[in-house]
Amino acid sequence: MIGFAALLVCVLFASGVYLMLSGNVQRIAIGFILLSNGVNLLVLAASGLPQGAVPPLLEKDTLPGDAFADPLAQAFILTAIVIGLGTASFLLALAASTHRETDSDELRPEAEG
Amino acid sequence: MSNWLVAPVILPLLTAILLMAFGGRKQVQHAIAMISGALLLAVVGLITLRTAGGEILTLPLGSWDPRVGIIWVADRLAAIMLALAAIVSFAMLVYTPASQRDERESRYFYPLHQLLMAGVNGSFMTGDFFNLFVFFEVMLLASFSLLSLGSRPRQLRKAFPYVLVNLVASALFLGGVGAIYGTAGTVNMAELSRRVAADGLPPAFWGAITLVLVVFAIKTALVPVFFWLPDSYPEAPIAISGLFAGLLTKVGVYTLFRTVPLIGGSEPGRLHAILLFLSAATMLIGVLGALGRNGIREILSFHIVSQVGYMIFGLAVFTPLAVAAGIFYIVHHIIVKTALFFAGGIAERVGGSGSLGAVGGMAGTHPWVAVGFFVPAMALAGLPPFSGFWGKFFLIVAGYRAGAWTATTISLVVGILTLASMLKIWTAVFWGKAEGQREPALGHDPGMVGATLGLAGLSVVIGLLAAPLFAYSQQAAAQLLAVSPYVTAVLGEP
Repeated sequence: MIGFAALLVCVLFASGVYLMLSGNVQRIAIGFILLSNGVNLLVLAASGLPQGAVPPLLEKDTLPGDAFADPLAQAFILTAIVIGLGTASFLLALAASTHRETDSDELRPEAEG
Repeated sequence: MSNWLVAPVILPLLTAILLMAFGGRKQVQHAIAMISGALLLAVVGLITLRTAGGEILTLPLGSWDPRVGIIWVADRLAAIMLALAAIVSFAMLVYTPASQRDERESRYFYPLHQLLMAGVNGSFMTGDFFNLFVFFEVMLLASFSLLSLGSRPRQLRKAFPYVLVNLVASALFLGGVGAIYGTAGTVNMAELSRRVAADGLPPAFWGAITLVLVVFAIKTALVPVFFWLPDSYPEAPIAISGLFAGLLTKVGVYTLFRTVPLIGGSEPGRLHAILLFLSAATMLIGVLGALGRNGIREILSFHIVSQVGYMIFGLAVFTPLAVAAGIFYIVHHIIVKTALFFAGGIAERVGGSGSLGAVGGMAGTHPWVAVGFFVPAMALAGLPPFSGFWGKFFLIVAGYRAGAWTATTISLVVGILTLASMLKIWTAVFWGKAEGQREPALGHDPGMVGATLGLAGLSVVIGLLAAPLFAYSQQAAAQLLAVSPYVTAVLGEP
């Protein structure tokens, strides 16, 4: 499971960085979204994945021996998702205004105005 | 426990919301922002007074155990940084109205500035890495928007590298924080420091903390990860590039000053050796880059990189004297650099362009602007009796005493090259016959000139009061290096 998560993080990072290096504002925005999801998964994996663990709620059917999923790591990720969404929407707005101002999605020096 | 420690963050946040309600009315927005800025100065002044005696203020939000909850901490160094941020931010508000080039540049300017300050102030006070990440993001999102205000095509294109580098840095930071939590079970800096001292952390932790330190180096604009800075800062709206120049990289510097003593142990080790090498390289490459540039704000931006090297040099030498000198240097630099960007910005507004040769002879027509440039320029180059002389003097004494011969000698050479670069701007823009002054009246705007001269005057005051200020820097450094008062204040007695 941890190996699979590592592989997935790897793929998300690689494709995210690849897209971000392209010089096309839309690809950059998509690349960032992939990258931020990769990081969120990394945080979840680093906290030891909630494999078979129960949510950390004390109820009457919770057995004393049950392992709890780590809530703090999930709180981190929840915050990071919100921030990632905000940042992604900013990037899309920046991409849109770049397109409006330069009539192109490319970040090339010859597009200088 | 001091609840009002939230004020430096809450006040700008609430002001930002209030400002949004006055959308198109710039005068009203400006007035509200000024009042809030003055209040912030008062609050921060209070925090500085409270911490001056050596007390460390803490605020565990929601009274959670600090090892899992959020805690805000203000010690002497944090208070110094808060005070500087409030001063520079207030000066920028005075400077702003006449500096804006068009309507598009002023839309949402004031609310975004308040959000930026909330992020900056939060970064200074946070006691754990994850909360630091959150405040970095608050600061970054505001800075991204401010940087692209006006959306000129060239500006947008130059803003992209800044945005991307910082986003990737944030992603690495979050990954690092996640890995720290996974390996150490906490992200609270004080608790981590205690664990490091007890030698109870797995090797993977050091990989994670290295990732975080690399991110701080990117934010600080250390060589070899500085390239995003000199390209993007000159393109921002003028007032904003002044604020960025003074404040934003110094948030990175502050986080290094905060983290390295906590995590790096009490004796200089490999980490400090690496930092020393990087700081020397940063000083040199920054100043050499500046020599090759041909715009006022381009040159000044490269000097930010160079100057950051000096501060990290103080941290890397790691004797109490050197760290105190580093803190003194931060104080001097924030004031001086902002003043330089402000004075350069006035010349840019008068000439309509920031490239050298676009405008000339400002000294004859705008003597006060010339004073506002000359004083901080000489301070930056380190000429007595200005603040920069003392900053460099203390650093160099500390460097030689600690036996860091090469780096200290480099810092001396860099001082001379800095002077050359400042003279280059001076002769091109201020000396000679008046020419290219398209809008000379703008150069007499009381707000812009007043803010510039105010900061320049502050730099002179720092130079004249060097002895008591350095004594205070030494106290702050002693508190920072002792570590245990900080850890005890956050976690209580072990």
